[in-house]
Amino acid sequence: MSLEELNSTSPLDPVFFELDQSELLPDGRAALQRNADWMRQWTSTRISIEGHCDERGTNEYNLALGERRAAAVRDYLLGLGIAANRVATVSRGEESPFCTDSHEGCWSRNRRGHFIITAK
Amino acid sequence: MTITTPRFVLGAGLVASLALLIGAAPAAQNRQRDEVSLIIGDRIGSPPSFAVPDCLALSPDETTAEAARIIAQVLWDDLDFEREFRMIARDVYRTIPTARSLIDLPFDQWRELGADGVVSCTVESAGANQIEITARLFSVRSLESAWGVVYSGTMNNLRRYAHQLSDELHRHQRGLEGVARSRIAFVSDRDSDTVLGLVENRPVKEIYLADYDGANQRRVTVSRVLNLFPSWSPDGRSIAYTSYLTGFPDVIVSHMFEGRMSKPADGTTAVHNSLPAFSPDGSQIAFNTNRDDNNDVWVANVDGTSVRRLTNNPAIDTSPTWSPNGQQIAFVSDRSGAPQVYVIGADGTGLRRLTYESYCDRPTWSPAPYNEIAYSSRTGPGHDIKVLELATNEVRQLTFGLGSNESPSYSPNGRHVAFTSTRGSGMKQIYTIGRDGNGLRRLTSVGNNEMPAWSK
Repeated sequence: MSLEELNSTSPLDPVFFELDQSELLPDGRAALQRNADWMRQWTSTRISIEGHCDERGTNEYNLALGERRAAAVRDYLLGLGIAANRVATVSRGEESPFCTDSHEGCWSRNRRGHFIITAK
Repeated sequence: MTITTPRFVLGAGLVASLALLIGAAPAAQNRQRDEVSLIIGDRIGSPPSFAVPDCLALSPDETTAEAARIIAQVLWDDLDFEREFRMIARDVYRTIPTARSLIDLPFDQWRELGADGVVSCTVESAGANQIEITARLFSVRSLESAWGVVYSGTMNNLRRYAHQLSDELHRHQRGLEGVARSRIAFVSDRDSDTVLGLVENRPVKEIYLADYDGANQRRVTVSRVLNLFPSWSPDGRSIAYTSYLTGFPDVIVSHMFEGRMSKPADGTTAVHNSLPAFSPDGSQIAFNTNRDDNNDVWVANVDGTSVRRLTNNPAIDTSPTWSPNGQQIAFVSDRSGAPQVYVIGADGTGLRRLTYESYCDRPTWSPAPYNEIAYSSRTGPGHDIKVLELATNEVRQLTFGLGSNESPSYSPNGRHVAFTSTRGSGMKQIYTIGRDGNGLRRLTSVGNNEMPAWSK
């Protein structure tokens, strides 16, 4: 299975945030527990955590907010014992939305920490 | 294209013969007196009315005729932009007979139309792809020529001649530094046949350039990744921007005229840099970085040396902009709980909070003589452009809730602001507006266009 095929099955769950916030929610912490379990099972894998924001903020601030969201997700995973050298972070601000309509159902999907597997 | 410098500005001999031809009072006998005495518009409280009819085509070919029309139209638009003159609409000129020569104008008809000044111009083919343009500004009342230039060069960018005419006319008549030859860098997804990435479609955004009026839009970067937040060097020879070329955001400086790029903020997979802003002397770049796992504003020399911290707070500090004298930097911090505009000395001392609103971002310090900061402010579901006058702490609003309005950037003379707006279709487009909130113009229409940066 290629990396692309592996990622297309989305084995790692995204983590969602409230507007303008980077605090992890209970659902998010639970998702990170599952993701940590997966990474403990597949010990050679590496991941990149992308921090994403919805369009209601400004592009400039959102780039930093995405960085902070990705860092919050990474820090929680490291706290669960995942090695730092397996985890990279990157903010994509509001530049790469998963959903492009302008309503909360869409915005809430865009405020996320998104996982990409970068090595098997 | 090169524009030759004017070979003469209304030589004394020409003024004299011109005065004879149109039977006017003896005109000024030298250029010096001419410039001082012939400022058109002495009606108290109202700007002088100007007309710019099509130039006379002195060569019979279709290309010259087209050039004669384009140059007059662009010059009219340029003069209209600064609103120093009341521009008489060109479609009412039809009733007025064509000038018989550069200096033989139907002045009586222009006076009836209410014109105080008429720009008369001729265009002549000067060999293969070469053109010569002569322009004069006449006072309709005194029938004297107030100003004149001759340009010659290639036909490649006719609009450029009109822009130079406008800038020189503004300087001569109003002492104003026009912006007709300035350019705006911006970000667009128009060529984004989205790149299929590992999981989702990865949108591509590239840096583009346009003339100040939106003409001549062209792509600068071809990297097929995200490229964001362009910023001009003061000499207009370099653009710094945020690029995901390595997969991670880093500051790239594109030295356009030297054909090379540099990365002064020295990004890595772990150190991410964004939102570069050139210092007014062009030697330094302020930027946002996540160094030390904390979003702060840092400063580096453009050559990548002397990378140093400016702000130090666990909150997000980003969006730096320099004061015109380079001694202060305004930036955005959410240390109060929401993003607000702060100012700090370039030496890291003298921190002060400037805004107390719900959510502010992208401060942009005006050039002198104005001393104000434009920024975006959340005013409802979206954002509006506001301006903070630093001397008085007064805030004025330039946009009012039509779409979301973000990322302001001042024109080099400080009289206009470019910004992004979703008004209308919901797509992001670049607009310009006067610093008084009047004179809105849209510059773009293809794809989404955002993050304008007006050249210095």
